Amino acid sequence: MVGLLFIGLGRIITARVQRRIGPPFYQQFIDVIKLLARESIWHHWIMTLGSIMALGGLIATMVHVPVAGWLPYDSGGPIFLILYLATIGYLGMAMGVSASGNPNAPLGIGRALSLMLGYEIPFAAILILFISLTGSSSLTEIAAMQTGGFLSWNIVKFPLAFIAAEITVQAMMAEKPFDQMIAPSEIASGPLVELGGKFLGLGMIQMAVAIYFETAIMVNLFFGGGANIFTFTLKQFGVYTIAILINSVMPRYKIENAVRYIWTVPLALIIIQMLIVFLR
Amino acid sequence: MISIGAMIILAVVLALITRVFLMKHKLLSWVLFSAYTAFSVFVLLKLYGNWNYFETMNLSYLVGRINMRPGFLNKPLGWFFSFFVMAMSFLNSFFSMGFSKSSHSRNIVPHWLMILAASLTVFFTKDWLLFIIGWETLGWASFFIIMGGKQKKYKDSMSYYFFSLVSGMLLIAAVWMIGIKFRTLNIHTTTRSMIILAKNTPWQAFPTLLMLTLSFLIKSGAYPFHIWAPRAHKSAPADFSPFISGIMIKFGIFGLLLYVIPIVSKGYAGYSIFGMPVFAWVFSWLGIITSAIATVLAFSENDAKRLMAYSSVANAGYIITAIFLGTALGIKGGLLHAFNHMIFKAVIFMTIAAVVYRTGETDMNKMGGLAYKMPITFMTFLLGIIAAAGIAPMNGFVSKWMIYQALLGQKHYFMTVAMFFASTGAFLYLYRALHAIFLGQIREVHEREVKEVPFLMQIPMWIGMILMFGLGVFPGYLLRPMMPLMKTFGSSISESLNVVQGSVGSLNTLFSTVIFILGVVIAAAIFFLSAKTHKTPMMDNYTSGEDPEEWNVTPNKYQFSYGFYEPITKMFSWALKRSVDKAYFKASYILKIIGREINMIFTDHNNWGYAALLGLLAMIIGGLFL
Repeated sequence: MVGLLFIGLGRIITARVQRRIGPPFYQQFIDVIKLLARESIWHHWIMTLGSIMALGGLIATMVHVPVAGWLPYDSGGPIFLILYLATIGYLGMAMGVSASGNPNAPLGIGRALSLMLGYEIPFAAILILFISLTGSSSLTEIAAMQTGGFLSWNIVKFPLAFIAAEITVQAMMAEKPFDQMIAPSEIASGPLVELGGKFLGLGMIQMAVAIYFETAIMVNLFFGGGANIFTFTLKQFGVYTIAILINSVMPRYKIENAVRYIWTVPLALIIIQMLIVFLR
Repeated sequence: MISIGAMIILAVVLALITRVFLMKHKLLSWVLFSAYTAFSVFVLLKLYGNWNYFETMNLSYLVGRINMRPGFLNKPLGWFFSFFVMAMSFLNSFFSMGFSKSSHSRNIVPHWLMILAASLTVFFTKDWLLFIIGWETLGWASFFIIMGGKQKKYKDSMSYYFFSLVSGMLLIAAVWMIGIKFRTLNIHTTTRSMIILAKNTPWQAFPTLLMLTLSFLIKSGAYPFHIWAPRAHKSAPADFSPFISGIMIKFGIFGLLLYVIPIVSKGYAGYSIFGMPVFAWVFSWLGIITSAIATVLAFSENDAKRLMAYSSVANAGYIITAIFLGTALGIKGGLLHAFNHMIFKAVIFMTIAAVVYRTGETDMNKMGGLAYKMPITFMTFLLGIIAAAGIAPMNGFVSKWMIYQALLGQKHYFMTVAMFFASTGAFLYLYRALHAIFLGQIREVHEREVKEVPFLMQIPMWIGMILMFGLGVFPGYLLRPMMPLMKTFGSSISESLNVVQGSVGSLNTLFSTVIFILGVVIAAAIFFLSAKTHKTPMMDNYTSGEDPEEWNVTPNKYQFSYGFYEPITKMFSWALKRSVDKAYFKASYILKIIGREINMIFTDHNNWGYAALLGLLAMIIGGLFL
């Protein structure tokens, strides 16, 4: 829900940057409800299985990410589980659109996975930095490490890591300049090309869920978690706004250049940060 | 109770019977094979818990100056490996029974039985001599299966045999050194003596250890010896590939755990780096490098079996890294991954064999859309690649998670990042296989001809699916029986059924699976409660309602498979250019020239070299007598 609201607000922000007025903030809800209510065509049961597996995996991932230190079960936000549960969501998405039979879809997925190979490495390095500092792979503890005012947040303590993470998350959310997988003008929206009706509706919900937990991970890693759900959501929106602002003014990389960029700039930043931390 | 020696002799006798009398009755020999493996599983289950059960033969002989008495000792490590060998062969036998096509070689059963006999020998023997005999038998028996008597497969299977010969020779050399040093060939007493030797004078222990390690690494396909793996898998019969990939690659891991790891982790007192011996550190890194290189090679691979072979090499790399860490968690993670990999990779190769059975193809560019015709095979493959990519909630995730934890616990941060690369890369090439074989557009030929494999071949697939999911949710069912095994590596943690303890966190697999299933239920509810759908054929979309035939639009044209990861492959072209294959090719070229020259000396009688050599020999012999 919050994710959908974010996308709605994000559309306004993009419009304002481009000197348009933009749709109302609840437009995304209307879109999803409309799509779910439409009759839609399908080609094979694997498409259905893929869509359901994708949303199921992403919802499961979302449950494991602590929101303002709160979790439905005391699992502590296990970061490896989060990464690998999200992957089953992506696999479901990829499988569903592959079964749709349109060549643009696997083309987009191939790009998305190549990009994933790119951003997982600096992201892993960032996680390892924090794991080495806290001695725990729990997001709750990483967030709890930063309690006590603005100055103990990781964004202040580790600014280089934050810039690297911001670039990485930009790629993770497939916002420009890393939107090769969607690339409407090249490969006709890539994975989404064959999806219509409720398949597209589910796709939008998947995107919203993904944005929600990706921003939540960022808030837990760098912004000290948050005292209650409102401040937490506000911080999440802050992260999303940065991504959207960059997105609205950027062109698109070629895929190999994008991966190369991710393996040079953010990775170099994070290694410098690691050296600073470990040598101090 | 039947003895281990009797099991080995039974296998050899059965091999002879099937080879001599049953060549015409392929199905009968497979039934015999299946019965034998089932019986062995039964015998081994009875042996569980009876550790240090010892049997010896009334037969003693001299090797050099060492008095030998062959005997078999039941240790947890050997028990586990032989149990998995027998159980996976048993599963595979159902598959092979259904697989028997006319082109299917008759020679597989006898040689496979020889392999089983040899592996029991290797896993249970108490002295090095029988170990070597078993090791060599493994090499030639599997060579005959891989080659299958076909001339066109000679080159590829020869490269496999070459590497296993090198491995055998290194082993013999190392054992020879051990024999000279300690005047005994008992594996377990020499381990203890080696620990003491490595503690006091590491440089004396080093050459033996290095040779043994290299010998075992060759068998597990580590870099730079990985090149036999894709070739052997490609030319092996489709139903034997599960065994090579699942089991044969693990013999090296067994050897390392039997001898090298205890010595390196307990006794080594040489230089250390990052808190571990240099020796172990180098080979840990070699494991990670192996997996990274195999991953990059797999990106541009178009043959399904070769791709999966690279994936096996990558997984062997993780296992090598984990066990060389030497901590209890690392060894546990490595062993668990070895056993999990046996299950999921065998299952993946079975699905590929099923595809070969129906289409006769292993080139992924000539396939596509087979899932629509073979749903069970597709589901098995899907679960298999989820496990192989280490994604929750399958069994591969648990063991990979443990390896990550072991790496982080020892503060090997760069190795962890490199492993992330290999792991994400695995997802890339496995998805490519999924798409190119099973999804996308189906070819017209396959649309007409392909159907699901017979039920007999589905049995191991169903069992494999249940095992992969079951061990993913309850890893304790494998970890609990492994407790006596872990005790030998100095860990006495009692395992719970669904909670795995790591170094920087713990993992509740049951809980995460329940959450995942709940997520799927919510998603399914949204899907099925919303509006209706109706099914349309795929080709209807592309020509805006016009007849696709008129526009010359065929499904084949809409299958995207060729050059799937071209951008990424292009990025690694600098690395691919300098491949090890070329170095091997050059070496073999030079060897051939030298061989031809030497050959000339003996065959060409007009050559002065012949006379020169004879003269030289006469001088040497004369010198000896003087």
